[in-house]
Amino acid sequence: MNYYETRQYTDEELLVRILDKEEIKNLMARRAFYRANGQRQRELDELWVATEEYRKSASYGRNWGYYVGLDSIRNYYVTEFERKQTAALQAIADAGADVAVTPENLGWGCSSFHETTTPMLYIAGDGKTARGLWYVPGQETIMQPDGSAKCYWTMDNMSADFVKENGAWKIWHLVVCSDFFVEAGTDFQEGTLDPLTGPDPFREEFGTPDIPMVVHNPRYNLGDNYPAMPLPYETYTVQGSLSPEGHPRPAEGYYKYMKEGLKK
Amino acid sequence: MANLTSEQLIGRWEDQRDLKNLMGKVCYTILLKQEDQMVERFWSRREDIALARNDGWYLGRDAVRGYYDAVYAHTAAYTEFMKQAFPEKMAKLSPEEQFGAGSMDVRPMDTSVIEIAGDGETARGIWYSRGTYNDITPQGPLSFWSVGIFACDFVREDGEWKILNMQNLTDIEVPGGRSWGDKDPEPFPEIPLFAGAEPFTAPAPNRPERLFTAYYPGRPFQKLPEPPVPYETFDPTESYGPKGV
Repeated sequence: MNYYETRQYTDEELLVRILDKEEIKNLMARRAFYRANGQRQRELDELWVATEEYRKSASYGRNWGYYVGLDSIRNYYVTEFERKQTAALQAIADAGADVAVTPENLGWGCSSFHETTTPMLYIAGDGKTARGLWYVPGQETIMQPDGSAKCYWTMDNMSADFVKENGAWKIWHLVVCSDFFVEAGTDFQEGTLDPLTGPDPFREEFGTPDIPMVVHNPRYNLGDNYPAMPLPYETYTVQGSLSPEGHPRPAEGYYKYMKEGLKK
Repeated sequence: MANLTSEQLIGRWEDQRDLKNLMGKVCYTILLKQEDQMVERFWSRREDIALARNDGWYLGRDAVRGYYDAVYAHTAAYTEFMKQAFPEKMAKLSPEEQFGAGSMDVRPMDTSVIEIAGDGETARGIWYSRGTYNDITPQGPLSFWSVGIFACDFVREDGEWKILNMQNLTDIEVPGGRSWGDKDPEPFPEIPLFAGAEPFTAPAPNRPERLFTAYYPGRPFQKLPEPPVPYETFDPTESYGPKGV
């Protein structure tokens, strides 16, 4: 029998737990808008953990590995991204487009949005942390120097651990994994895009993760089942969490296994 | 929320649920082609309601109703065209089945950020919508992905949430099977059977204003409306409504 079948809450506690879920759903939808609006630094400042204890252990997982600690996440998610945006804008301007290479023009001809749908969310029995999984259809539009744009429909899953910090829910461990993406106007059965082996325009954008490993293998009917559907839990433990240490397969061993497997 | 009573807390949860349900009803009303009922069922009874599309504002009750009436009238005209183009097939249908037969317009709502005012009298919310619709054109029936935003201010009237302002902005619009990144999209060939077909054209907004531009290659980076932040009481300058009215 699980804790939630036996644990007794006061009416007040139950209400807080209900509203906690709404706050977390708002939080992740707000993140989607900040990201789409190019407000990545704002996202880290407002929506992620802020206290030193959690900043160090914060993590951001993608198909190809984990970025660990908010400084590393910022380097991956903000600094590197803006550097690549600047280089892309320079290439567009060099090709003859009438656009100045300035910070306010970053993202010229680009667009993206990643929707939050299908939430599955549990507040820990002790009310201090929470864990959720969303399905995330979206689009990415990347301007090309030839005047066209590469446009992708994307299908991701997004999972996270949250912690209540000074009364507000914050993102602690985030895992955003691609299941597939396909160029708009093409048949996805014929696509060759692959988040594990490339070509993957999103993977190429950023630097090497702190823990390079196959976090999610979308092949073979998503048989790796990661991130898995969250389950009710009483209190946070590393096992079952969305931290790198909580991944069900040891990082080094799994990475080697997948590299060998992919060569076959 | 520490200072709220239990009843107030559960009221705020119910408010969130009711606002999501309200926008779900708006979605299904579009799907069911009942735009003629939209204003009376879901909008505030106030005279200063406002609807925004990319190219401007429909300010006031008459203008907002005029917009939805035009959508409804288009479905009626579409139906008459289909009856003339496909008389045998359409004759087998009842009048209710004929209305809009073969067309579809759905605007699912997701990624909601909702904030109820501290005083509980108003609310603000934003949704992303991956929509799809089709229409008849001289090139035949064409289907489109139509992706965008619903950003709304709500007001509580007689215990029910109603729409006060709505920005319904189109971010991407592209025919199915094509990319919105094509710089020179090939035009569709005209089809003689559909020579007289007229796709929907919205009435001109009574306050024309370039509020948003749908994607085209080379569009300057364009931010979506900001999601709402917690607030105490309604402030028109921080709303999704028109400014300077």
